[in-house]
Amino acid sequence: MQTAKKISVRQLCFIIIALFSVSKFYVLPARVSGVSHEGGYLSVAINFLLDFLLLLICVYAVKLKEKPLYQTSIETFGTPLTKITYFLYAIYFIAKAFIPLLEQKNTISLTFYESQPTLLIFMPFFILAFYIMAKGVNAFSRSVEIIIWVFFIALFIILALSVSAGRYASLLPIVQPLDKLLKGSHSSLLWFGDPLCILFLGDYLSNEKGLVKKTIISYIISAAITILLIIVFYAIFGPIAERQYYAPIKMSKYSITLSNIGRFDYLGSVMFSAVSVYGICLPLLLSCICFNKVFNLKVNNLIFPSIVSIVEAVLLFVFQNEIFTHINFFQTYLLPFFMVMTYILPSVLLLTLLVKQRRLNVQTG
Amino acid sequence: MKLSSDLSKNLEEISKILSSDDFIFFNFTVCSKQALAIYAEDLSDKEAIGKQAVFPLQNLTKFESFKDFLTAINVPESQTLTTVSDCVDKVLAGDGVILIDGEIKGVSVATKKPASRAVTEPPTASILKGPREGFVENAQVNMSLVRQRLKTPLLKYEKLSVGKFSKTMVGLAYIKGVANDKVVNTLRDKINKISVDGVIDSSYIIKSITDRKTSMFKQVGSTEKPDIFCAKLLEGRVGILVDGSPIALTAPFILLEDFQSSEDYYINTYRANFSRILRLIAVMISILLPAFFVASQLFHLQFIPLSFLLTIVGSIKGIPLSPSVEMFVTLLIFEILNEASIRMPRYVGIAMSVVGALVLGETAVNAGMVSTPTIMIIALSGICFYAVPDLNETLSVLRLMFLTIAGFMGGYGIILLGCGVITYLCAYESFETPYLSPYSPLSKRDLQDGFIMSFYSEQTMRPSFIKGKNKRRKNFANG
Repeated sequence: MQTAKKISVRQLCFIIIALFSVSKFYVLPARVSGVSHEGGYLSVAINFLLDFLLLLICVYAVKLKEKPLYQTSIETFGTPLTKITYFLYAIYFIAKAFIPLLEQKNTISLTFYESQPTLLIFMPFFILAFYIMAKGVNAFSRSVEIIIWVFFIALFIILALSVSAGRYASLLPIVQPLDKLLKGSHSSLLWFGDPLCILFLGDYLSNEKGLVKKTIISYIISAAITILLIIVFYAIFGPIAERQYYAPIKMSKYSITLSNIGRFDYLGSVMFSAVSVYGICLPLLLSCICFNKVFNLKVNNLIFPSIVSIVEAVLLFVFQNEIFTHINFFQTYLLPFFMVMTYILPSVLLLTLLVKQRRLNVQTG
Repeated sequence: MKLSSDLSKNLEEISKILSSDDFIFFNFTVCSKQALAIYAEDLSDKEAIGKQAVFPLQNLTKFESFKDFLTAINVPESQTLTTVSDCVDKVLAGDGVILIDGEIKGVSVATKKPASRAVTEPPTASILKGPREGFVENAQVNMSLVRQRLKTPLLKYEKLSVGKFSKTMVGLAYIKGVANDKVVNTLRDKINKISVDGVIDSSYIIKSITDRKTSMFKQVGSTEKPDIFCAKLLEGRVGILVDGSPIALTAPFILLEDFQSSEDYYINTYRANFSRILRLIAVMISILLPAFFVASQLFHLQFIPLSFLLTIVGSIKGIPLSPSVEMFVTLLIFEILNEASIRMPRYVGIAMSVVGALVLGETAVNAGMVSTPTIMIIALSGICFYAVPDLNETLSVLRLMFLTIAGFMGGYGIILLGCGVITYLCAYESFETPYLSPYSPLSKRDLQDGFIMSFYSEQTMRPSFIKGKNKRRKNFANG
């Protein structure tokens, strides 16, 4: 016996708080510090503002549409265009998961292990990813309800051990040249655009009150956590922050407590890695959903979970080294594609829905 | 086959089927008519048959119709029988059957007298405070223990028969209006559909009514204590009593139930909360500690504090086995000792644990076969294991899985397996109830009886995941 496969607004909020922020903890702080230096957190805040607009677009689109997204899209844009768009989104989500996957692989292999482990160690991740995709949105969102506590414990450990080690004067001056901040924002855009997930998860959302209010609050919490982490990160490392990749493992190492009890902070990093697993699986899950729609397959089939896992594994196998080269490649060549898929298409959808709504209102008087 | 008016024909048919020596066929006369009493020697109370059926019938002065026959028998649960198979079933169930020549009907008299042990404290659920009664192998006695605690006509008890040869009585108990009707119907249907030769214990029923046959996690709750059983019925769960088994079943089941003890409700709430958190920590330690130790030794030495690392290095010097094999072998020996101590007679078991724990452990360390930290970790894990005794079947498998993956992959393997277990449990449901309720999906109302429980007076609602009609419960707070 299975219950209705719906996700609650609370589960969505937990996804926003834990999974949207954890993907920004590893390479992003160092990268943005390299461009915007002490204004790194402001660059990130600019991107959060942009994403906030995307969040509003997605949430209102979810509220406005009366049918599932795929149906709405077919009725509005026609079947061929919808299928092509969904196919592109499926590819987009695979690409979107690739950078966090590379980050995790590098974090694990460079910081957790005494000697660099073989790639085979990471292969079971794809079995797990397959399993999570096969179990579907309901099991995923329920898992996040457990993982959120792991996230908060990890955050507490890392911040408690690192906050006092920072020199916050190194964040001054607060006012920074705008072009420097925008450059920093541009360099970190790849890590943003997560609210797009809400548009696709919208079909599974249960009909509850307070969707807009709760998602906005969750998003603010998520943004605040990320910005706080970047502030503490820069306060600890200052000018050398740009070389400190995999922030959670580095931030707390100067804590005096650790000299007495050992690298207790690793526990926090291990916990973040567990949260990160779900962070990577979210776009992969959405990719499966998109593929299933394109090929008219049932939600619980195992074809696309296997294909998506294999594709991601092959990508990791081929591009396992030189993470920063790949990030630069994505930034240089794929950013326009990312921008269109993340920001433009949802905006077009919302506009169309608004026009439709207005027409309907005029017709009904 | 219908009963005949010719008693000798009926006797012939029934004695053909009941051809064992322990079935008694007793002839007597009722107003000059031949009569026959049939019963199973070991199952029936022959004194009761004599006093309540045979003697009144022998003393009957007139016998004109079957009605006189029924009036003469002074047993409340007498039943009219019309077929040979009905007569056979009743005798096999322990009832006495009376047949009279010239009558095409017979009568059964409830004179069951099954062997039953006394109601004692169950060895699997000892407590310091609270009721000490435990279920026995007789479902009738068990139901009487339940009725003593729940004196309401709304407590329903349905008797079903399962097993081709055993014809075991399986009782479905629930409180009407409080239990979820859908679960009651599902369970009734599933029990009725069970097709097995025999039901020897209630665990046979579990295997037949659960959806995931291959799962290592429990899907139905089990208890040997009537107070726990009644508390679960009051929450809206459905209970199953099986004749021949002292273990009663309850559904739906959630993982949290294994962390709850009946004593939690009888003692101070602060202490109860502390105990529940201790049980959670103990479960984590028992599963993860051996795995983390092996992973740290093999792959992540930086995880271990320097002073402790030096101690470990000192103790593992000269150990011929790798950390994972060493831990695995020690765990294997622990499991063998555990298995042997459960099966052995109690007095040998005590000697066995002394030999196992002290002599074997000490000499293994002295001989340089295993290191002291490994023995300590396995011992700690083993003790923590029994903080939640209901979970130990699952925990032992999980511990082995985590240990194996830690040996191959280190910490990352533990993370992945942990995520896999979480996802598995989150996708898992027992009779439409999410297994990790009330934490996933999160239900604020049901947290009142979670790892940190509210005071009993504040627990004013029944668990929402039961989905029964009557949601509010009466307690000290709302009278």
